Amino acid sequence: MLIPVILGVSFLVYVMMDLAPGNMIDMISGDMTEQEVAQLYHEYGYDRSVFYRYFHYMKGLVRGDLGYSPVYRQEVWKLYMQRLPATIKLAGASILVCIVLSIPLGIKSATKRGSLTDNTCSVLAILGLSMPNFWLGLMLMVYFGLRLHWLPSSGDTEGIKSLILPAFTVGTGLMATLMRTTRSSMLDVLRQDYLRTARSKGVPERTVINKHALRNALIPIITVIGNQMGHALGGAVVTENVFSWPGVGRMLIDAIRQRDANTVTGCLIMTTIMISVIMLIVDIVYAFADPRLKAQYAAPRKIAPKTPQAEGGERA
Amino acid sequence: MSEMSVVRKYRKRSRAAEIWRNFRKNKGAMLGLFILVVIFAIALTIEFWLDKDLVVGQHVAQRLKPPSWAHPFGTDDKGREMLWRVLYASRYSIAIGFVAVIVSLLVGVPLGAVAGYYGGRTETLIMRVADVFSAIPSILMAVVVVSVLGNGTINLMIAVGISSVPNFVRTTRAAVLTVRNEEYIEAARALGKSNLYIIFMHVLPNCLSPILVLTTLRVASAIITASSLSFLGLGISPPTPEWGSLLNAGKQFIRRYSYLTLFPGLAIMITVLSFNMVGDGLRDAMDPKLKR
Amino acid sequence: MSQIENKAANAPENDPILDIRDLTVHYVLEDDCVEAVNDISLQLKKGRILGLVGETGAGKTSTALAIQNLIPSPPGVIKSGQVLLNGRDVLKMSTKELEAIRGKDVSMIFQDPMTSLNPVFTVGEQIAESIRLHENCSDREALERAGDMLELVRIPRERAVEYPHQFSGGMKQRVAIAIALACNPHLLLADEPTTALDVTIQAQVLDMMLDLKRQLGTSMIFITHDLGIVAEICDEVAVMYAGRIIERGTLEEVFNRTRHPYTEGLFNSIPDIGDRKAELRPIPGLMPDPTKLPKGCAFAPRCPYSRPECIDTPQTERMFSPTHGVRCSAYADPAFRIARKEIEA
Repeated sequence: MLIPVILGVSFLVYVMMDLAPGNMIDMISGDMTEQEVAQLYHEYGYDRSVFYRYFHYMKGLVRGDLGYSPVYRQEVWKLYMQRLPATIKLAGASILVCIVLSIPLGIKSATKRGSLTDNTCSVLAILGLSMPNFWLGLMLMVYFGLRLHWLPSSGDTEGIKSLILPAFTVGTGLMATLMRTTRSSMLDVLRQDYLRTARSKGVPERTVINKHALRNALIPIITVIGNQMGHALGGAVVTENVFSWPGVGRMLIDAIRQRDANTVTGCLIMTTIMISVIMLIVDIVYAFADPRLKAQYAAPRKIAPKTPQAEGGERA
Repeated sequence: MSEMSVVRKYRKRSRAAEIWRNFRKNKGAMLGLFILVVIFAIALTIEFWLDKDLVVGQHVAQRLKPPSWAHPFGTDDKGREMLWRVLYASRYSIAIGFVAVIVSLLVGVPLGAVAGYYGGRTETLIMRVADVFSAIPSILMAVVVVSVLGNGTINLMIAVGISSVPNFVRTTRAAVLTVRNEEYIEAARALGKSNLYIIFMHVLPNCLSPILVLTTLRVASAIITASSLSFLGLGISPPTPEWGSLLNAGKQFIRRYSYLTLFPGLAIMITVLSFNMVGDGLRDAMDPKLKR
Repeated sequence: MSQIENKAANAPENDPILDIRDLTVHYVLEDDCVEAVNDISLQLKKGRILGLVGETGAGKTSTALAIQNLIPSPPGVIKSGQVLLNGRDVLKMSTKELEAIRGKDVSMIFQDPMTSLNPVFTVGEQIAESIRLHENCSDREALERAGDMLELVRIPRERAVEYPHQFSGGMKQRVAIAIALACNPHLLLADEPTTALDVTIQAQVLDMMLDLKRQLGTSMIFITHDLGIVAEICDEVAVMYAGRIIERGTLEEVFNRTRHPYTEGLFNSIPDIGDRKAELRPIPGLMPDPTKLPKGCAFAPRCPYSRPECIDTPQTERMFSPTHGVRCSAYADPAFRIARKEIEA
């Protein structure tokens, strides 16, 4: 499944970069001689068709080589690895913000259905969805960064502090879906009989909700969190721009402008692979969270040899 | 009440009327609808009653005045009233949102319908291609398309439109799958109608609800994507006002003149919020499980 | 009469473990009010099994839930009454006190074993949780005892690490019983525990419950609509209709000296396997709408002996023996008898 997608993505990008006016050699050949330009053309295959270039690139890809960027004068792999940690930090922190805010609010909305809390949360969720996140980023930057000077407004220079605003910006965009999913999943679970059994055992109400109910409600939520990670990686792109965050997204936009086909393709392929890996991890976590699935994957247990008394119904 | 009027009353309860009745009960959705009507009115008529010079001309004497009674939204660095710029920009943002989604509809719905109806290898092929397009985050996809086509309003519409296509393909296919095995489809086939006829006259009309809801929600997201692109400097160029490019222009003055970025963003948010509320309201109104 | 009364007064061991007085539970909905339980009174002594009989919707489950004060609070409202468990009124207890007695002094098993166990925890854990809540012991000890409970309900203790979906319906119900009995409660409420099970499994489960009662001395309230089960394991019977207890007494009294027309109707509805040619004699009509119950006898519209005034006359309980009570205004006439013959013990 992954392979055709990678093939498709890379082909698409190569073709589109080709269709766009200009190519990467032209972008950097400002003060080169004609001869040098012609040489670069030949080196990068711009004297041949796009299919030739694509084929060449794929040959390299199969060997694990993501190509070389003449624009940045670096191997694409190195470029990607340089910028990746920043993007992962941002995406990770955003998901964390999202989870920490959405799940408790979702639970409260479900347990107090129809109340003021519930309605307020729905409104907040839809607001978060409707706000362009770069605008939120700008506004936050203005108030917390520039006016109040509490938090840095750009760059990744102050560790956790510089992470707060960008993570919050991206995270709130993801909140809406996660909060709604938590709420509806909890609503389904709250109707279940086994909660009544728990209460009947004398389990305190708070434990009934936070242990017995939540543990079951989390199962579908895990899948949604996985999807949101994909969105986090995408939503980070514009936010990285607003906060001058040195991540992959910013570089990609720049590379597209410069028609750097190798960089764009290489980075997109890596991103696709990463998202697929994340989805795979989510699937595994999901299988562990739901015992009904875990049993399917577990190896068959040895059945203990029957002792004579266990037969029949009489016990000694 | 006379007998005939009672009968008439019951006959009138068509599906559309029922949906409207449910929709009306949702206060948030009605508020969103009201706001949208106002915005539409502005967008459609502003060309006629506003002096364009106020929007794109130069009035250096008034530059960078903060919000006050004389200048409700303040003025920008060329002295233009932000109020008029923001209102005028509604034309572009809404037009882009709509046309983009129409593009997505025209491409995505037939593809999704074909995939769902015929199944087999056609379906697999179409869905794989849709997967490839989805693998690329929609912003980046739009950026790539804009680089191919160049800046400009129409190109922006196409770019944003293309990035929404996979959603429409998926939703349409899912809806078609549920309708495909209904008996009236078989009946139509028995009557000898061509497949194409069946798809367009029988299958699609019954899939309208999820497609309609998706359309409304995608207009909202298209407006955000279009603004994001303009914000990044792609798409619409100054002095044409578009909310995203207004934000981009205001960004440089953000330290002392933050109001330049406040109002365009607020405009985006209110518009998108209204579309989302209407879309949600539509979805709830059409959901048979929520019969009130 | 005085002999029996004195005995009750002088024997503290014979104090009722459960004493329900004038309990009324309603469910208040938007437009209606469902009168689920109406003014019922009931006593149960230690070590006895009471069968609570009635059709679906008679108010049996609500009664049981009320004993643990578990009526879901919107929309349920306890309009009046007392539920004295070992002398303390459950309905007046604080949340903390309730959490202390649930599972420890009084436990409940529910009707549908497929949905009453939490799918994400092992059965051992679910039993141990009850033990940990009420007894002061370590986690390891709790799991040990959970294993003991499993063996008590005839499930191999190695299976404590398995999840509910890995057990059959009958075994799930046995797990539920293990959970309920883990802390050796004084009173066990069993809400139609065998209704969802096959007849053969039913027999096993009933057998086991009797066994447990003998071993542990647990008092039980067994809710069922199956008179056969009542005959097998109950010592006392209470028959409910439309939220009222219309007849109660010892097993012998209710079965052999039936008084209430409804109870008679129940017995008549049981097909007689010896007489295959006879027509079935169901009770005509349906149970009344619980939102619109009459002031008088709710059974009157279906009762073959009813008189016009039955539906308006409030029904008071008449005692035919210290233990046998009936709510039927027809007995105001001392000569009134129902058709069902009395069988002397």
